[in-house]
Amino acid sequence: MTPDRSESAILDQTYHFGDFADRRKLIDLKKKKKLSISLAFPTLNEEATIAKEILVLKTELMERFPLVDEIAVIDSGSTDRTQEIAMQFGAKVFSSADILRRYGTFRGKGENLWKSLYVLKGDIIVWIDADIANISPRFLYGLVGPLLMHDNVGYVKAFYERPIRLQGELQPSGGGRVTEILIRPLFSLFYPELALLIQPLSGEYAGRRTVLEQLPFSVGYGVEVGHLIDIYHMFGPEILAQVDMEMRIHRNQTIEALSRMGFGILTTFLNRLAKYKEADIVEELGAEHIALTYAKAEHDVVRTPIQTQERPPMQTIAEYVERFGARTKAPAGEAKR
Amino acid sequence: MKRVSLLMRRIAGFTRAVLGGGRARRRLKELRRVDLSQYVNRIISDAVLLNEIPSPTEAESRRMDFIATRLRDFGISNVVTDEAGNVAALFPAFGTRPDFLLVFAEVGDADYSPLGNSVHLAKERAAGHGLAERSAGAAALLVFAEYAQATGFYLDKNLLLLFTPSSSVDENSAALRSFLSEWGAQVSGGLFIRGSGLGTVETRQVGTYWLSIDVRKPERELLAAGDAASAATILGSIAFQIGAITWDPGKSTIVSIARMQAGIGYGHWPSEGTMDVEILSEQEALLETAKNTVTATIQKIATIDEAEVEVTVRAHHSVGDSQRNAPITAAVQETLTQLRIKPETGVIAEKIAMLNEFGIPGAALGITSGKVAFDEEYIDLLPLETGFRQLLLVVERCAGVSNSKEVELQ
Repeated sequence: MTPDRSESAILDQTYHFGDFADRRKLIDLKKKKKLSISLAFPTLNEEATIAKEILVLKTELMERFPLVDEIAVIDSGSTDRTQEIAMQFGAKVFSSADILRRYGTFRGKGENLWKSLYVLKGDIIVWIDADIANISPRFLYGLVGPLLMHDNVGYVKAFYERPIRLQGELQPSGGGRVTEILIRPLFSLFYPELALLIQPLSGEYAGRRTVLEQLPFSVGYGVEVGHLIDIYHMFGPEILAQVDMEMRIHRNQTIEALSRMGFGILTTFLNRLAKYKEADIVEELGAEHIALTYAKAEHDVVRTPIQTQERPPMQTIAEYVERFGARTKAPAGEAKR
Repeated sequence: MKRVSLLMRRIAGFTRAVLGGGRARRRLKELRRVDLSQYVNRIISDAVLLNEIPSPTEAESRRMDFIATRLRDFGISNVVTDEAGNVAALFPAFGTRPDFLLVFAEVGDADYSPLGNSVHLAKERAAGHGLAERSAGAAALLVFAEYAQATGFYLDKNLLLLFTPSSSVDENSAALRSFLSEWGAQVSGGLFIRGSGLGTVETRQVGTYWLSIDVRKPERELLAAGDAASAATILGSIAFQIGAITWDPGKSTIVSIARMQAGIGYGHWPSEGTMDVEILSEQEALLETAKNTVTATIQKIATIDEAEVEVTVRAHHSVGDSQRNAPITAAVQETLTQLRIKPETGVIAEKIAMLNEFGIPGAALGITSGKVAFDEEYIDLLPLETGFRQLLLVVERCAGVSNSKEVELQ
């Protein structure tokens, strides 16, 4: 069945970055609403692209147009020069392992995002992946725009054309394979409204602290899908918006890497189904991704443990509450508890 | 491009006389010391954003839109565009002089890159195709406009910042020529800003002709009777003959075969071929003579070998006029000495030679060091601050430069 646009909050809140290109207007709104904005890059060995991302966004949206109040890198323990370069180009650099040490550390993007909530000061948090080759201010003001202009919006996702590198050449589209093969069918089955998100797994999104601090975080690949399902249940899809950023060029992952990513995402998805009693998982889920390699006329089994741990909502962490208070006011749609 | 009324200039016409050279000296002193570090990141950022705009679009319209929008974002009200695709920002002077100093940069791309020319930014350098040759220079000029607007920087002479679309396909720089055809009479001096080449003082005159030669012979079987020369043989013969000519005793004129291609491969008689010839000379007269001689030699060989031949002049860049440029190159030289940059002698840029054709003195300014090569192009980040300071100082110094046309205008 085709969703009726008029019935879909998500489609109603689908924008183009150009809708928010008037940066002076955004700055005025930010001042008027007394909001602060933080940008964080979760990183692990991103020396190839991090300098450009920090420099362009800092120059454009902190110095020329003071829309953003702080820019930080939350690093998972890079072994290249990511941290050094990030500092040189003016970002605050945090080692994920050093944040909330009492709670231990996991390696994964979701872990960095969760910990960033503790060190960032903003009322609006923006996360941008550090591997964008064609970074532009639109990625930032496009995400912040709906939150500043529409009080009912609590969480904004980017979507874009994703070129894919085939035989060394960059083709204009074809990326987003995990979304189309795995996530969209699953959302269609269980959460048809979320299937209207054009790129639910995009690594660029922004949210109000009041929403984010109430969400649990999968530490690994499942963080985005976990957020969306939790938001759907806790706040309703009405607080979701998505923004067209036109084109995002990044490094494409191998099929093997995408398979591991799919494993992590599916684990989070199934756990959420069980949590919200939308499906029964009758057996314990496997903890390792299993793949085969072929060499010298033999198949070898490769077992890879995938991070599937969950971090609790920040509001349940005492240190966080001490720093930010026990806030509860968040935009509310129709929660689907 | 519409003529902009320079009311402010007329109101305060006496200011120059009152302040005189003392003010200029103070300005130079201030500019030597002013903190420019924040502008360096802006140059890099704008260079990245400009370079990564997908190309080509008609007359580089997306890049030119980016520039026009940015200039207006800076609060500059006198931003104008013309039919050739040029974008200009005018900073009127206090005074009554109608002439202006032109500071310009190229905006464009050399190649088809619908997904953009990605820039890789590292600790010490930024690398990317098109960055050093075009985008960094345009970015520096944009940031100069921002600086001028933010600080109230003005000259005793009108200042016109010009962004002109350009690419390697446009070998004759049509947009700049169009601008100069309309406004050249009012330009008293020109500075061409580009990414790399900091420290180069261009005094060496070298002009070029780019010729394309197409040779055609009737089709025939490879083993058909007869000993007529093929297109490949004729091109070889042309290359041999024009390569053997000594053009002048000082060897200041060179003819180079830039490219040669004929036939489609084994088993086929080469009936068509093409050759690109580049002629370089330090003297305009010799350049012209060499071009005529090369053309005549080609025609003669074609007649003997009964071939159809077409010689096309793809581009002509005049040798430039180092004498005319002397006041501006002196300002550049003086600034480099002041900034303790060791000057190197370079060849007068094609764009400056074009200014010279219109009787305008000029010089090119590199904003940093770097490299422009077929397989590698980058700019160094560290010298950018010095390069930008150099730009401010040279512009200030060039405010006093005049040329012979000004006398006629006044």
